[in-house]
Amino acid sequence: MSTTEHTLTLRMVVAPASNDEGSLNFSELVAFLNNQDHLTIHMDHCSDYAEAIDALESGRAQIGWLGPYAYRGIEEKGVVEAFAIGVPEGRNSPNYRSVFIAHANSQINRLADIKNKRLAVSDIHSTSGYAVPRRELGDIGIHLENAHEFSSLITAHNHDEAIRLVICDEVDVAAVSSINLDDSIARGVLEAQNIKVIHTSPDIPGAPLVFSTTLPKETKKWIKTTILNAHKSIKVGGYGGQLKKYVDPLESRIQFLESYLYPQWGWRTYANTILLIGLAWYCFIDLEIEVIGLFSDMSSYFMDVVGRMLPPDFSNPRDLALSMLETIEIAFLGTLLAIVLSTPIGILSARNVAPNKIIYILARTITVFFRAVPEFIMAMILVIAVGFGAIPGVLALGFHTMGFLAKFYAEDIEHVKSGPIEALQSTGASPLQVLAFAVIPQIIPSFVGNNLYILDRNIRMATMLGIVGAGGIGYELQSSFRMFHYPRVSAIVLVIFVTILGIDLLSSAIRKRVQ
Amino acid sequence: MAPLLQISNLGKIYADGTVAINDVSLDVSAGEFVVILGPSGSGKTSLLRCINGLIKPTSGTIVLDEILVNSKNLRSVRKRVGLIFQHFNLVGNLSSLNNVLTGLLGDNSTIASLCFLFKKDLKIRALECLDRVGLLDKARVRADKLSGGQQQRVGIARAIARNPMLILADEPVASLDPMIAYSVLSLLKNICLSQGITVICNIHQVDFALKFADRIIGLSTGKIVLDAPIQDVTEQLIHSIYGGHEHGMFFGPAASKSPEDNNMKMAV
Repeated sequence: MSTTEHTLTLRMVVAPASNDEGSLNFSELVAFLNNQDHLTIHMDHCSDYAEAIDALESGRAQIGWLGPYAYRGIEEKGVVEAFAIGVPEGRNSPNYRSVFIAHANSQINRLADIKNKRLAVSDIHSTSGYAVPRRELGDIGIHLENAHEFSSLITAHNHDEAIRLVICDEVDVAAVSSINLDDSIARGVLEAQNIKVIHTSPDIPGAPLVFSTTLPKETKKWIKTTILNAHKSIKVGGYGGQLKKYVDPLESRIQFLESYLYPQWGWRTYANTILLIGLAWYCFIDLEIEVIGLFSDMSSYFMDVVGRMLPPDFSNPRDLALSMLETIEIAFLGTLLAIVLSTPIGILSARNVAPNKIIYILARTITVFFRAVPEFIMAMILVIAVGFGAIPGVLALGFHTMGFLAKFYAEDIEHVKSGPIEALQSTGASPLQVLAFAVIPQIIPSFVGNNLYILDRNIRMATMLGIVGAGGIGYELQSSFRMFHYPRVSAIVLVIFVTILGIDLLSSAIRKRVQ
Repeated sequence: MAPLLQISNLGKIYADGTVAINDVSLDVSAGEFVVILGPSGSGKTSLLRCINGLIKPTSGTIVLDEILVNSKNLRSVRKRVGLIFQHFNLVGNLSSLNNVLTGLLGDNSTIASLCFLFKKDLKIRALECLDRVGLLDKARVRADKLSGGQQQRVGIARAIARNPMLILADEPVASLDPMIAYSVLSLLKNICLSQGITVICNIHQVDFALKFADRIIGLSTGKIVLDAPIQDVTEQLIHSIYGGHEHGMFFGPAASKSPEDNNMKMAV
């Protein structure tokens, strides 16, 4: 298309949002376009949305303003595309809102009060007069589709009529566009103190001007550029009366979406990170830890010790194996004792199955007590009480890890799925039956896993208990250290390592079977 | 033009000997809304999982958009396919927006993702998808605070985030009430129509299948027993999928049909 072609005549259709020329006024804009001697536009105000849509779909019109919702429908069919969107005076975005208004001295104050009252909306193609109000009401369980949920449901011809119905007390509430409301107040049709806004919707993207996709590319480009720059030459008008300018819908769409963005890292994340680093920093300073010095000293001492430990001394393998076996036996019996003790206490300290609060608190206190007393201390006391040997080791491990196991069981029980419990309760099962058939089967895999973990842990701890005289390979370790026999120490450490490795392989094999 | 999806002589036998899919051949054109009907265990889910490469077929080939689905092409195939699940499979304690962004992880660098940082254009795209499913104002809300229907909408937003050519929906409405199920399927149909995305959907509700499908495929014991455009589907054909069960199962009121039924009631 060249600019010399003056003959192109286009028809523009405008859907009814207002019956007032001032609040939906494209005449200055159209006159401005016609004055450019490029094309001629005839403007038609349609009496309803459907008429305007039909004109664009059938090709009788090439430019239009349809409101945002109706336009989306036919844009999806590829009939039209949006090219410009108006930004109201004094605003930065073309977005607006749907507002529910009531008479100032009405009893209605919330959206929920609308039920069984008189409501005015616009026709179903209107965004702020129907689609958005339907969604807002739907969110609180009121359905605009069901007229019987209101004492009367009136479809106003346009937003101005809906506003008038509220003022004349013909309806209790009307859902209208914030643009029409602001405009009515600005024009003095409505005194702001006569009405109250009972609900405001989230932002609605503004209503764009559209043209037919079949228009020649050059023409589309010319119309778009001219309208986007029109505010530099004239006072532009459109939906909402006087506008600041027209902007590209795509750009304004992105701006609209951006308004819903929020930072991925909230201030809490920052605050917690800083707090954590600060706390660690404080501990370093308080403990007078010198990080750099530590590393330089440590490396030289470490090499020295390791050098003296090699090669490991595996002489008397029978002694070594027997004392390791003794340690394993202590750990095994200790774990067994822990399981036996912790099963009832664990069940009683689970909030959801404990018979009452007193027992729950009592059971919790017992578990906390035995967790709090280290097995070392327990073993030392028991060695004094019952003498050297395996028994203090078994008892110390059993009671200390009982505290752990009971806590693990209780937590597993608290996290079982409540569905099966309800199902059994509903059949009239007693609490103990529910426990046996709905709770215990659910925790069996983690029950086995926890016990194996405690066995693993107890073997490691049992080696240490020997140091305080509670038998096993720890005693061997202690005496080797005392005699500065470091190659023996490394041999013992290796034996312990191989044992733990074996237990680990065994327990993962068992766990696999139980899952 | 070659069809979007070409499945030839597909077979899947599980390790325990179960024959899930038995010599299935099927072409799906771009923009079709295909509903797969079939009794439980008829291989519907296995078929969808094969298309996406989640399970490896024992025999036969699948070609999507002229790319052979195999372990080598998995990434480029999955880029073109969006998946929708029965139980939504959202990450409950992430916001809706972050859940949709998980659909775009393939376009974000790994390091940035590990810090939960996304490029702005990806976030805008995710918001666009949330708007498409009508949940823009729920962008910041944790997924587990949404209703079932809303969660499935977030699931759909996640599936369309990467502009797939094909959406596979595995019983997308099985855990939703009929009203919400209807609106979720309408949304899928709408996406199929407006964006030209092909949808293959497993559902159990025959009435929904008849309402939304362009084409119905019936599976029974891993075989295709019906493949017809919606206008050719009759009540009789639907019954054939379910192995010729009683006529009144889907249409008309339920009533005890045989004296045995009544005897059983007496016995109870």
